[in-house]
Amino acid sequence: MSEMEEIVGSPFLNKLSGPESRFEPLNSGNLRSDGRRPLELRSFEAELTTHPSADGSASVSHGLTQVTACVYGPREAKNRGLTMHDRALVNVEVSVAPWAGEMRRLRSRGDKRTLEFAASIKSTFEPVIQTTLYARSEIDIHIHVLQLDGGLLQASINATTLALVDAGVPMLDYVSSLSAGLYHTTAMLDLTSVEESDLPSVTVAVLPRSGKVTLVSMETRLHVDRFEEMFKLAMEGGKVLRGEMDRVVRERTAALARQMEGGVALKEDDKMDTDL
Amino acid sequence: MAYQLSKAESSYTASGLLLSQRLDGRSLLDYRPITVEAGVAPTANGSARARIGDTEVVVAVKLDVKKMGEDGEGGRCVCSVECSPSAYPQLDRDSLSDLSADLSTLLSTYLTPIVSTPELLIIPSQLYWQASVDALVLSSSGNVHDTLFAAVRAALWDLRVPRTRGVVYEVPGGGDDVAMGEDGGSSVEKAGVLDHMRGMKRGAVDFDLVDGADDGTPLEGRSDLPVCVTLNLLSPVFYLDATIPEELCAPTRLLLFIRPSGTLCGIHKLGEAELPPAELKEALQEGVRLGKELGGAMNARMGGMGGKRMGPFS
Amino acid sequence: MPREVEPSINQREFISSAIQEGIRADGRAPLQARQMVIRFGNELGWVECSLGKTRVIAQVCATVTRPFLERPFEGIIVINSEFSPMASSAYETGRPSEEEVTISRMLEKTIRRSEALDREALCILAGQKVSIVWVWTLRVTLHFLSDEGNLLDCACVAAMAVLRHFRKPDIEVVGDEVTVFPPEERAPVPLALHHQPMCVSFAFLGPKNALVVDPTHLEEQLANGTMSISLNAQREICVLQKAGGVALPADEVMRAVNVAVLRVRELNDIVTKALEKDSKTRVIEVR
Repeated sequence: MSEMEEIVGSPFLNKLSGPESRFEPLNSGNLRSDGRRPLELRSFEAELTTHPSADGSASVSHGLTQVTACVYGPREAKNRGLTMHDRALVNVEVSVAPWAGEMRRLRSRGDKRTLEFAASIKSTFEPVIQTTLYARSEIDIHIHVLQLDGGLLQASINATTLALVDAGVPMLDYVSSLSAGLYHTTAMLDLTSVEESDLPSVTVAVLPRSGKVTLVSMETRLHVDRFEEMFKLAMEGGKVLRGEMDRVVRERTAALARQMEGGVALKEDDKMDTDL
Repeated sequence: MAYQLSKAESSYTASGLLLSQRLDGRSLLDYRPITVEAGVAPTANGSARARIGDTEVVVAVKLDVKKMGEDGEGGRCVCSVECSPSAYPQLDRDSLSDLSADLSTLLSTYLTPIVSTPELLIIPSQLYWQASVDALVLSSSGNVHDTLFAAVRAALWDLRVPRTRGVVYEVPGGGDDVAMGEDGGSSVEKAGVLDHMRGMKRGAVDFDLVDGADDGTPLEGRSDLPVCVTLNLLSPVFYLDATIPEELCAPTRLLLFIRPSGTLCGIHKLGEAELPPAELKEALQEGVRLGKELGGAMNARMGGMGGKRMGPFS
Repeated sequence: MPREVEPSINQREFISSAIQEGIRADGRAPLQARQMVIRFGNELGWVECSLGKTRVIAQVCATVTRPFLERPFEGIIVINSEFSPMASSAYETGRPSEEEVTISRMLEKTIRRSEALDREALCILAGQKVSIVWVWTLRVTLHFLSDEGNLLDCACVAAMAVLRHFRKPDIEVVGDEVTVFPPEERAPVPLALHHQPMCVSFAFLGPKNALVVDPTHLEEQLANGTMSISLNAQREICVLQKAGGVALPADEVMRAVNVAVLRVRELNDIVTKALEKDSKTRVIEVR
């Protein structure tokens, strides 16, 4: 008896009986832990020009994951030594809010994971942005992760795309990104953090117009034969997401055009009125 | 700070201020529109986003269960402020982290006495909720301090402390383990149960989360949480809510922490200039009045509505 | 940060027109890798790998320590990637460059996250409280001696070879007492490995983005994009990383995956053969 109680009080048990062991990614009704069907995405919301002080900014949320991206530039480079004579330099800085995940975590800017993450976003956008138009200048992208529930990379890429669009930086195409996972033989899209920690998952970023893939990132073990299905599904999903992103951009542009015609309603005032 | 004002710009702004004329047409004691939105981070126990003009700060409060130290000390809060490089594009990495560290120190100095309330005790002298207050300065166009503390205040207002009850296990021979509990609405009751159990043999003391319709209890004294009012002193005038050029014109800046009930619970002086006491007196009186007003207005706004709350004050 | 000299226009044009005809500057076919040479040191747990002129030394040492609080039943594995200006003038001590971060993270993911090592087998003495638990801490140090392209693959082979080569001292647990035997008394025991992931890197070269395996340094610099895949012999992908770079059709990615499957098998054979050859030279005396 007393031994039982010892264990009840010990922190180990919480681990053993924690959500990991009981977690069922797909129930008998073919529904996921949050009630979605396998190929259903979480609610996608995007807003442009969230930070008027930046040249372009966007906030994107996939379910509970929320990421804000701010774009500065093209502008004169801070560090002249790094400028390139034939194209613009792209800098990416990522900061994850300490409260973003389940546990509070202070991450320093020099953290290797964050650096790697920033590097992969940088190299995703470098070939897509028409950097040759802005020789000897730099484009800074700051990404803030405010909420984290899986799909960090996809949300960051989507937010960056929209922020770049908002800043009016010429790009070859949208870059839209989506994660996919596999449970037994069922592929599912847009994973939450619980699903991410339990299932093999891949994040894919596509250029929807050409249907080509620019980023593939998988960090979990999966048999080669299973990979292809999941990978191609994520690509298809990315193309669908592009439609949503395009809609947001068009709506925003239409609203701006209306305001310019009206000539009076400034953006801030407009927003204030609706909020009150 | 690397941000510098040209002489002409500085004297233009300063002489305008001395004539009670500001660049954006406000009077000296006017705020820009203040917007406060609570509950912006669902994974935190309390969170808020505050904007004053274009300055924007997001704050989240998280509670973690911590064991108390030997000396019975507890209820300490942990604070961190991070300034985003997008808020201060002119600063390099090092000065940015210096600035973040300065703000963090300021925040924890003024917050520690406020947050160490008995409501955060789970089991007296054993376990407590450690509040971690994390702020992110997303953009700045002057008056970061007021915005930061407004966001912190709103996040603490939004904070819900999970309801707990003490659990006592009875050690061998006693048969089934006894789970004692009472709704932990107030910590006094909780303590009472445990004191009662102290006479008995017991093995481990733990706690249970109580399921309820809401996420927990709000802080009791939340309506009397202080607000920060920054007075920018440019002798003989002083002005509120300075923009960046206006901040650079003020030789002295006073941060006043004022409770809506009218008491002053902290003063912090920024700037190297010296300050004659006579000037301080007038500034203090006016500051306290303004702080009371601001705090009252925030309370009215935040209390009036549930969920998302926004409110411009003047 | 010192910036590397960019390849000249002549070099760029030569490489890109050659690859269109299926030829590489060093005479290899696009899908042909350089020769991998593995050399073992006198001590167990010291390996030098070279891939053409790229050279990496891997070293393992094991110490007895307390475990991490959150993982009380598991040993600790630390992978140190030591980049020094010796390998290439592009590396600098201090703040790591993007490339260094990518390589060390990739190694970390390939070896640690894919659970190549049985970490629970590194636990010496388990218990309810962390304060009485002892575990092995394995420290794998990779010294990059010379960078002639594809450091990652070379380092990965070196790391896997060294983990298979290493023997940890035998131990005996009686109650709460742990005895660690020096190698003279008892033969050291090999590590428990779940699987042997290896990394294969690709570059996409020229106007048609031709797929090239095992790129040299020049090819890496000129590449439109790179991709690294870690696989094991059981055809399981452990890490797949194509971080940006040129956009490709999905089939090209799948083609690279299939090439990597074959290459990993080849690499595994090389490592196994080298280890067998080495073990013949060593005498293990069982008393």
